[in-house]
Amino acid sequence: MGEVIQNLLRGAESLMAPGGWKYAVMILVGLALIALAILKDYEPLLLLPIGFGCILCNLPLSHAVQGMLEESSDPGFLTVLYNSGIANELFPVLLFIGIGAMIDFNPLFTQPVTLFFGAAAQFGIFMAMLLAVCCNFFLPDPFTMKEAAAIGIIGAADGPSAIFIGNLFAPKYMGSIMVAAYSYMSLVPIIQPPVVRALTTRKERMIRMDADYDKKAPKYVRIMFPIVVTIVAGIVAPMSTSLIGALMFGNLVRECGVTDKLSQTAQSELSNLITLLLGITIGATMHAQDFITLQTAMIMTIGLLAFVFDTAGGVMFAKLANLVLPRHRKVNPMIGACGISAFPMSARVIQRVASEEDPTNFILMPAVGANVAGQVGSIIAAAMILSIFA
Amino acid sequence: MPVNEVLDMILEALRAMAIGIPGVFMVLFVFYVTLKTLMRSKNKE
Repeated sequence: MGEVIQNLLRGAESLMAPGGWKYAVMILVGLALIALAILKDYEPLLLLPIGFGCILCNLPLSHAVQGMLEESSDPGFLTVLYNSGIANELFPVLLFIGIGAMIDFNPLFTQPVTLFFGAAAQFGIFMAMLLAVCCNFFLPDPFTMKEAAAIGIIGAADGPSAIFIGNLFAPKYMGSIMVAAYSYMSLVPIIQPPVVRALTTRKERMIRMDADYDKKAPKYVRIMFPIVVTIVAGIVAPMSTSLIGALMFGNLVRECGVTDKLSQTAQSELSNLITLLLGITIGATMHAQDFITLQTAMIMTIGLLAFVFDTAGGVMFAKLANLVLPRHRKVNPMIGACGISAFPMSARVIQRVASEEDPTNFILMPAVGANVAGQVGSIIAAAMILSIFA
Repeated sequence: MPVNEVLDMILEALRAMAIGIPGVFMVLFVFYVTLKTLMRSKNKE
């Protein structure tokens, strides 16, 4: 009887043991993420499962994550999910099929020049990597070059890419990288407007970008685009093939017009299922001993700066483009900020800022064009990081 | 970490930046040309 009670109290004993406070703190972090999701509506589809996964993995002697940190013949269910979906990169790739099925490239087809904003706004990735490396001047446990690159990928503002690179280059920091990436994505409405306002004049913010966005691109173009992009990307950036291939496959299923059921499934059931499993599994990587560190604080800070640099990079590129573009084709520099991959939130935020200056100025469609370009650009940037450091 | 090693890593990060940013632009430029070609070929038809 005494032994049974002792066994029941082992979990509580672990919390009281030296270092046990870290588990309690992580459980509070999990609760905070759940509260943010439910009360503030910040990325609830992800933060809620991540928060719950965080609690599950930090309960003392949790069987849910058994075998994740040490070898075990009886792995917990989160360990099984981790090994079958994250460690082998399956979940992010499947998620890209769903994202591809949701993306409408039409605004991009109407103004193809917005593609370049998807490249300019990847500036934050490389700046964040540089900042992570600079942290090594004072960090007792410094980041390796690959870990710095994985931290930089927070600037892609793209969850699946962050998982893909993070798992390959910095599995130790996966939890922190994912929390930073998804938290700041949900904070885009707070992060971007002040940066955009600081870098543009009122006159620039009022530039109109009128075009016929109601006109749909020909079906032939909508079908050929995902196929040709996949082939071209496979040739010029082979490391991007699985990510861009999954994204473009999803888009082809959407646009071809003969696989509506598959398109619906990819957009709803597949995306929701993967998001659910991905979130709780990512949360399960937030082990107290890896998470409550100075490195995590640095990753969170660098992640925020990555979003700031992304926004600044996109806006400055648009301003530079305006120097050479003819008067009637000048772009509103704010849409440069939409080159990040946070789709469609960034476009909505920029439209809101434009409306504040001039309620009759509608730049939503070019902003969405830059936003979907950012989706493609972030994958290509991830492929660049992979090919440089793999 | 010794300062020399950190400086080496900074150089490596700058090198990655010098390759990566133009690299992303280059690939997206290829997509741009592809898209323009697709649109133009359809317009000709």
